Amino acid sequence: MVPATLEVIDPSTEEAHTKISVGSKADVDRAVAAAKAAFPTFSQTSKAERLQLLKRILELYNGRYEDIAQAVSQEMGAPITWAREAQAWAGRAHMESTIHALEDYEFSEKRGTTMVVKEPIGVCALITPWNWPLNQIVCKVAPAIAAGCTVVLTPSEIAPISGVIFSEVMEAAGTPNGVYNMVNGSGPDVGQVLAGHPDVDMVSFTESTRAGIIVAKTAAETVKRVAQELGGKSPNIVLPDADFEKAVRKGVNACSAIAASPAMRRRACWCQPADTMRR
Amino acid sequence: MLVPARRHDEALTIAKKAAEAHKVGDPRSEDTKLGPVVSNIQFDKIQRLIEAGIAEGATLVTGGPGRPEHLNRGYYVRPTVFGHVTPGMTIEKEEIFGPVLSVISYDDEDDAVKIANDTVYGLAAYVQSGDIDHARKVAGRLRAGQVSSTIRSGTPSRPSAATSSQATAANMPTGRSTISSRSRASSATAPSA
Repeated sequence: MVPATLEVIDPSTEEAHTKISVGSKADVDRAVAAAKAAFPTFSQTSKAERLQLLKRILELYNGRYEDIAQAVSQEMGAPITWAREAQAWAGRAHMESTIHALEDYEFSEKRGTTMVVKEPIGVCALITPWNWPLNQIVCKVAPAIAAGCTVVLTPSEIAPISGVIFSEVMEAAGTPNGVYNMVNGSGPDVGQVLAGHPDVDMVSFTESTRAGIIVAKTAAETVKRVAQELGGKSPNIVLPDADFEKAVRKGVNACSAIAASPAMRRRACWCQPADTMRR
Repeated sequence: MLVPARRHDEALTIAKKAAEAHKVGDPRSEDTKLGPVVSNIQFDKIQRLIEAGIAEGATLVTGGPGRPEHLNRGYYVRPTVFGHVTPGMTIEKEEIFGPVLSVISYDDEDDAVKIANDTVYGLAAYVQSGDIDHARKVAGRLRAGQVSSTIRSGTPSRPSAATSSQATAANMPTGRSTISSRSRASSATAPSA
């Protein structure tokens, strides 16, 4: 283990407001080993047990809501009102939606004389970006937990503090040892090592197209399942029968008010348990 | 933003007014609408793209290079609107990740769909219309993982195990196109629980 730190810059002042430890291959190996060791037990838990865990996580998330909003505002420059009403909210909404989906979810289905069973895929590496920290973290972590997978999360090293708070929530909720792991660090030092790790079964990646291609190629060597959400240049067509003034104005507002992350404007990315399951 | 050619100038007037109304500043302030972008790398990239827009002949309607006048530090970008942007320009093709809007003219619906689909990404798209059926028809022709509209068309969408994952559909040109009304579930700007 090589101790190393990275300063976290407040974009409104251009000065470091804190620093984080950044991981190396040795840290990734330890995290993956923990996730792998936890999988045989966690994958056999009942839906009711996992629902209970997710509900506890949601409760504690709501208890840290303001801390999360403040962290997002400072680490990525999100206006505090928007950090509360959209950024922190998105994590809560994904958790609530995952709980709702899991309650109704059938993991097995009989088709004629065949039983089709959806099982957790294994250890999931979750690589998330800075633009919607909690949206991305919860939209990956919650469905993985719902399915019975174990995870190693590496949040963006540019906006890592909200991810640290989320990890505190996961620990306080009593998530079993090894089920949830977080390693801070850069794409090459942590993300890419996860993508190539032989004991990782699936990679879910959100960030640039350029980095996504590297992750997919790296993951292909060990035939992992790869889920990607990459770059965007999203057209907004104003048709002649629209309320023109309103449509243009809202288009500008959507582009500017959420300028830190236009690729995600007005989007929801609802994951489902099946994403992280073997089919 | 794709607008009918005959209404291009009108769109620029509205867009200019809307962009100039944005309060840019300290993210800690309760009434700030637009904070800084996340990093110096992002700031430099946006500046480069704004310069490219000017150099390639797009009309700078408002904003432009540099910080807003009242801010002398922090990665603050001026809300910028470009008009008369044409297919092939750098700012029409590349993801900017900043408060920079490109207004593009289209001749008719077929032309709009053609321009909208001429991208390597296909992450998301938006259709604005007064008629939900019309919006859905156009949405069905867009090769994007998710298509959204601001039209209200009933109850908010509720994600469930039966819905397709936008995360995996994203960036796949063959991803299923869907259209959802602006709602709690599909809107980051109307998040009241």
